Amino acid sequence: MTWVTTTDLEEDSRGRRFVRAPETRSLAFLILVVGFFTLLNPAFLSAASFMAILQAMAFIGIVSIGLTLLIVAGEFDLSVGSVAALANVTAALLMAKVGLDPVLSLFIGLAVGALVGALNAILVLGFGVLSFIATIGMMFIARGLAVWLSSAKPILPLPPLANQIGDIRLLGLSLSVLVFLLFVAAGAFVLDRTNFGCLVRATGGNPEAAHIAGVKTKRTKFLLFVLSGALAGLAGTLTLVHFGTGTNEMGNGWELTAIAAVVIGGTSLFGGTGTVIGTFIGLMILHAIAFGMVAARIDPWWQIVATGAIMLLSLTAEAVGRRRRPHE
Amino acid sequence: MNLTPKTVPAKRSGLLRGLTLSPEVGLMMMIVVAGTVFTFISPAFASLGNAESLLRTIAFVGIIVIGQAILLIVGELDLSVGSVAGMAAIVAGLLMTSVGLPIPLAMLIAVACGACSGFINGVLTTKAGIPSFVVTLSMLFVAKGIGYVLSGGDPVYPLPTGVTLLAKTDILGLPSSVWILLILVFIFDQIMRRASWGRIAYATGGNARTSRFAGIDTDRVKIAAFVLTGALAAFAGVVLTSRLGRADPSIGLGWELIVLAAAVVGGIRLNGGAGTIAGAFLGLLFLQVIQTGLVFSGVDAVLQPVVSGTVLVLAVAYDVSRRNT
Repeated sequence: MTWVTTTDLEEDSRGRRFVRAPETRSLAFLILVVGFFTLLNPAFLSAASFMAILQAMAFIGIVSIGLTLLIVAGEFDLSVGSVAALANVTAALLMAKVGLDPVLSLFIGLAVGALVGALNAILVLGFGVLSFIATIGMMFIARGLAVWLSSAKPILPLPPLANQIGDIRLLGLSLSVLVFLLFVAAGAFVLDRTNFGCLVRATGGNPEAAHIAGVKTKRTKFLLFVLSGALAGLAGTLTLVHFGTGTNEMGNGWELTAIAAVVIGGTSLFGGTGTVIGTFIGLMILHAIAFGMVAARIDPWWQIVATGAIMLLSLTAEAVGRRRRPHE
Repeated sequence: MNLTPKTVPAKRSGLLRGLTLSPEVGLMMMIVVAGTVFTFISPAFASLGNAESLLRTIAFVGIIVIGQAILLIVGELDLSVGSVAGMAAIVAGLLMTSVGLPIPLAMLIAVACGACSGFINGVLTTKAGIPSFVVTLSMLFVAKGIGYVLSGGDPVYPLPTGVTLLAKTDILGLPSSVWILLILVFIFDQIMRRASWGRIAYATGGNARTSRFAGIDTDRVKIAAFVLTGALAAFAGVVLTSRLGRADPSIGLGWELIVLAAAVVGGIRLNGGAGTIAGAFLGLLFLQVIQTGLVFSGVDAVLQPVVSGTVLVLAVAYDVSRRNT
């Protein structure tokens, strides 16, 4: 399916392709949102609020990249928020209570995330459990383990080196923002420009056809589950050094916000099509609304309503677009 | 296309075989086994008081499990149920305090709000062709947001004194909330087993295309199931408000996943077309027995989600392996 779509689009002019691309719609949304809040409060449009939004996006953003790739391949991971908490708590305990080297502890936290991702993959690919259900199960398990390991308490204080890592800044960007931007670029490159990205889209677009064409769909999906878990682990350990406290509450509800961002970014939940840049824009829309509402002194609770409303809007826009061009 | 749902015991196979094949019997046996094990570990587990508290705990979520089970049977799902319960609680609370409506009317309007959100979910899913997973995820945000906006994030308190009548009236030693659950489970279980609508629902979930050829308006069946689920979710929120004597916007937080887990453990198939309401109810009961039992056995309460998650994954993996052989 996807392959056909791609060739169809390639016959179009560059301009038409740009107009039709789902992330263009998301970008238009973003400009509208920013314009709206700038009208309400001109101070909103500033470098400072842009940087604050980037920082707020960073952790959930890292998770969303892995999720985007997985969704394009036709699977889901709802355990990402809990896995971030588990990685956060594991690394915190290792460095603060066990006395392990902070850097090593962070890597172990990341590895725990990758391990949970591998478990998800085994459940889904090996046992045939729907990824949606398998990862809900894993979400409960990882969260429960995080709360249990931490004895339901914050883990303090971290060794000085951990805090120094958290304070790293380059070109005025914090470590977490740097890592986030790096992964956005890497994710976008891999999905759009590499052979592997093509395999990912083929796997999600039509698994059977991809399999017949010789794509190792299971191996592709396995790698993506591990990647999603590892990125969740990375996000969790980054929150640890950023905030300087181990907490089992980290990542609560991330899975839903991340999926919202993926959807708003124009990635199809049926798999096969989607972009990392779209997810980035989707996440920025959600955060621009959050910050804009504070700047405009609107009741912050409206932000939750807006998240849902914008999801519905972009979904309906996509559905209408699909109906108008049925050959796609 | 076989319109008879597989899990309804077929008469031809004899009563005994029907019983052993029925997933409800399997679940009941699992509940009995779990109960026996926990009673050995802690004799206090097998008390009437504990049985009552078990039922009381699942009463609210249980009402929603009925709707979710029917929705899964017709081949869709609703992630907004927890938020809709919270929204309905706030709507009912505000209508009976700030607006000053009579309690039953306030509750009725709240349930109608839930039905409305279900209707929107249903129309967007069937007519616009957007997967129910994302439609209802959006509704999760919308309904939750509305609950918080209306209440300003604070509980609505105090409510008029008569509000606790719905859930806390004692009938034959059990609170009315438990009776509400048991009666609803019975009614909807019978509807799905015996009424023609039930058959149509199984057919819709089993094979929507064939059902359409057979003259079933599958969109209408699905919308009806969505409306029912929304209404039941709102009703659960109202019943819990009645139990607590306070309307809290955080009511229903995370319920959507518990409800799904219960239905799936109870033998409802996620692809639609199979499972029973009684099974879903027993699935929820089983999860609760395990959770309470572990507390009685001295297992750290914070490990409960780990157990729920493991049970969920194992139950589904078992179901998948059984179907493949």
